Amino acid sequence: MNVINIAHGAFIMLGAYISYWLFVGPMHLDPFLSIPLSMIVLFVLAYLIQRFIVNQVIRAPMLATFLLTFALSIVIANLAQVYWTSDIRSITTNYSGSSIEFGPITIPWIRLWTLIIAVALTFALQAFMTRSKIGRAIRATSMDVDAARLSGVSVAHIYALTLGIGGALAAAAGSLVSLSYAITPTMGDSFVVRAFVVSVLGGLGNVTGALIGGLVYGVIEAFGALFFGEGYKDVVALVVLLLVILFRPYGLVGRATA
Amino acid sequence: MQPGRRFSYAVLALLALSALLPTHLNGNWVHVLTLFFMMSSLAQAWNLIGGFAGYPSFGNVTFFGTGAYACAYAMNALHWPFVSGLLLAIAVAALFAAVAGWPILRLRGHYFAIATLSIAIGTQAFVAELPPLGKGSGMTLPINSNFHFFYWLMLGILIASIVLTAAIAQTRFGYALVAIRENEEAATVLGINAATTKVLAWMLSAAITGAAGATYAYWTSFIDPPTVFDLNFNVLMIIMTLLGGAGSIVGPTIGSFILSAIGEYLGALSVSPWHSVVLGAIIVVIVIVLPRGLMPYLTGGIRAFNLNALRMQLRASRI
Repeated sequence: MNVINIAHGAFIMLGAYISYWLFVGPMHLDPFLSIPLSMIVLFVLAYLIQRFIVNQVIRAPMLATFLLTFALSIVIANLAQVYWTSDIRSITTNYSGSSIEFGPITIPWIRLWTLIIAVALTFALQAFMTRSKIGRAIRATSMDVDAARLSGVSVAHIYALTLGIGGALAAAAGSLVSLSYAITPTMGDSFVVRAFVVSVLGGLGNVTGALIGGLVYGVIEAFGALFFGEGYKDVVALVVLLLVILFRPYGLVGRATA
Repeated sequence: MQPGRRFSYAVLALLALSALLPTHLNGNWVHVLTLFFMMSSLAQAWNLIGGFAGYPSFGNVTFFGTGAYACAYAMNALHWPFVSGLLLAIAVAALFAAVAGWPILRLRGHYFAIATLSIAIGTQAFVAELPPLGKGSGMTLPINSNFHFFYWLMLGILIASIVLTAAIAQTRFGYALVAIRENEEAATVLGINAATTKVLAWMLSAAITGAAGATYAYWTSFIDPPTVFDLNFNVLMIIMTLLGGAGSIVGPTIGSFILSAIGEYLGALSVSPWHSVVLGAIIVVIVIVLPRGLMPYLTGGIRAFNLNALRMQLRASRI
């Protein structure tokens, strides 16, 4: 959509807090089950943010949306700090420690299910983007706003829907990471850069490419840590990102387009 | 004389006059103003690449950090005097900009922003692993508690950066930068060597930023990676420049003055997350309502307050 949403990390954080909240609350809802709820909440929030705030500057230079979403992420993260304090929280379920073994390989159940859900959501998104009417409208708007509008697409609504979907997916990610990572108001920061790297590796605007990007990134980070030491893993990942941007700006799996 | 030029001279004169201030102020105000001069120089430096050339760099804070570390290394490990450390910092920052800028300034839009952002984050992570630079635990510098010295030095850097901007704006080089911002292909067709021009602009921007970083390091006498590579510095540079007016001569300083004043006022009220909430909300309003910054209003006088024009402008950027 040509909008870089820095507030994506803040959305992830909110998703994690919603799962935490429902888990410790009287309902004692399992984080895997609270995924739909956090997705709905964040969809609505992201829709409203795009519709009433970001849409105001969507035709301005790219820097405007970049800064706007950055400012929004500051606002959201600090409001979270006001209401939930900066205490580190975590979720421990009765299956937190259990894992499945394939010979020498041990995979925690939580990670395995996280992977399954992430892959399922990616394919659901891919199907939605290619097969549904709204998905086509989103792709049309991203290609040419004015032509889409002339064809009867309500572009303001479509922009808002797109950020809403992004927010819902961020919320799903937040609910999933709430099971294995510490929950703090600033937890989103580390994810937002990784989300960038992964999308660029996969190719911006390429849904299934993001899966491959994520896989490649994970491997690079792990090997970077192995060969150069734990501290260098971010450096290695970012150097790879720079090389990809410079030599394959359409992503590792994408094709150059005019 | 153009109103814009007259306004710039007035601001420069005010800044020059403020050199007389520190002996009459208490320590806290000297500190506040020194910080204001520093942020203004950073914003002025960002304006050269982001405002004139139209390349929104999210990596300028890297030059602040490398400048600070170059100076710290020179003084701490090599036992150089501060002046040599400052010159080294300027050279290292400019060199870094040349090496990084050559490939990166070919990118545009999102890719340029992400590439510069990753340089900023990557450099911070890299410096935090280098043993000669104290790894993540930072470096100390000789203590100099003559705070008036830093006041004058930061003021000097700021005035130099404004004079440099004013000089650039009148030369072929300045026009070339604006031409690149408006239409890079057309500029190239006119015979402008876009690559060299952009790299040169980023080197100048880096040199100023590196000088400010070195002075900051000596001023606080302790630096560590999260402080001097703090991305918030970079965002503040951009917001101050946009608030004042990107591509203008003293706009960044005006924006820095307003934001510093607001920050100081909020900070005086309380140091809490609310401070950041309000700052974030102010940025949202600035980005939406003042896309061209305050400069047109400041130099154009009362006639610039044209509600209809503003409404048209807002409508044009909306969807």
